[in-house]
Amino acid sequence: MNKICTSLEQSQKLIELGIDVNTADMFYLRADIALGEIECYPNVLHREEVGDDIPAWSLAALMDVLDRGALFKTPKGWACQSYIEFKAITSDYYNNPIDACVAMIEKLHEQKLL
Amino acid sequence: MKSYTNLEQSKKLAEILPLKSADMRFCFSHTLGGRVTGHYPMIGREPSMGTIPCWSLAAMLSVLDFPSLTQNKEDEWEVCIPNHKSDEYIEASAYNPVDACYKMIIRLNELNLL
Repeated sequence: MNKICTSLEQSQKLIELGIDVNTADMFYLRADIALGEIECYPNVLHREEVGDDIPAWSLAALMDVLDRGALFKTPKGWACQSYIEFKAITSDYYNNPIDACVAMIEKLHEQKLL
Repeated sequence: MKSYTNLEQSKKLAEILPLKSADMRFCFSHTLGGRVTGHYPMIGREPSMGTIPCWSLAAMLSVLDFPSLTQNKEDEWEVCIPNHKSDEYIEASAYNPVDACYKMIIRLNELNLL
């Protein structure tokens, strides 16, 4: 099955980068992780009702964070592109769109463009 | 931001796409008497009695042939794929990327290009 949302590691990275956790639309339950079960749930509840969860981002949520980013697939794989001040910034190629979007967010953050 | 197909869209896609392409499902809540009181999304297919497959944005893009996803000046999301039969491109747009992808899949099905 294709990747549906950011991994735990990617989610934690995005939080460290300062991405607003309210833009996340899925979550991992800490209680599940403690039991060795890593399962993601759609966030259909208010965060305070869910409890001690770790936010996760689906592809739609990541595209919303990128704000006018472009996503495309080529024979090399999936890549993201953003135009900042008339300059095109492109991610590397990945085998799934989630990784391409996360890489783009990291790249924009490194260049202080996000 | 809408992250996955709604119930109506999911039912339509289930008629068109291989069910294994779905990465989520709708489950239904019932009263003790068996009356359906609502539905909620879950990650994963696990097709079983009473669930309806559902597609995230990532899952829908993955069934398309080299898609691109961009946002235009009118804030509409556009999905575009090459039409190998005519050397042109096929486009679909909507105010969120999930609906744009859904429209694309419906259009491709109507054109017998899926």
